[in-house]
Amino acid sequence: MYDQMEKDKSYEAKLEELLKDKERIYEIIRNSPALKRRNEKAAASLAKLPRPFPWEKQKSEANS
Amino acid sequence: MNKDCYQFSKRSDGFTYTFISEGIRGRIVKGVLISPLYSAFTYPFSSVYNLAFGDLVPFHDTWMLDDSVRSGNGDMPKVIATVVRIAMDFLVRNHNSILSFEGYMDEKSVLRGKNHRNLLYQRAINSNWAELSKDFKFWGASGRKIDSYSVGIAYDTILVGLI
Repeated sequence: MYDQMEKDKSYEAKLEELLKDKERIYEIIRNSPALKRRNEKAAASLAKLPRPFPWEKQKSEANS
Repeated sequence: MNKDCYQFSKRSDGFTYTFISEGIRGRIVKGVLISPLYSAFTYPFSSVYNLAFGDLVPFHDTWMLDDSVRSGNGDMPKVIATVVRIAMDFLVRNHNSILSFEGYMDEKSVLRGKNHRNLLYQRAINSNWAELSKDFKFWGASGRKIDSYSVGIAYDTILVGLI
């Protein structure tokens, strides 16, 4: 219980420090390896889908 | 979308967003990143972007973004509604773009054979369908198939663009 309270206090202190610097938050998000992996996975999923995509068809028809 | 949402802020690049979840476990910083999947050259009629998000968690002396975590903060519907709102914000500013989003499959989702986060995304879309479908066109993809979005069908990936 005491350890958990100390942990919570330490988290809150770190959080307060982090929240002072929004640019740092953005940098952590932009440089996240986890999100890069998700992006690669999404690109792979998209590559499996048949072309043209429905929105491409719609825009092509609208332009012709 | 009139659902209860968190206030979010975005970087000047327009691709990086953050907001703070406040729930039973306290405050958790959330990060959302929108990244291009293919160039406009490859897909001449629109650019496709991916939306991914996660929690900022302490890691040694710094912080890292974890997209696999179940926060357990008791506010998931509000968090998902905020992410959907961010998606709409991006699309309104990037008219010819398509946004793709696919939830993280955690162990629980794999065991149940259902993508828990996608179900929550879809619940947020479905419960606001009348309003959202006026301005946005949705598609759902599963495996190698892509169709116009139908309320009630579960998809692996959800794609959305402005009408």
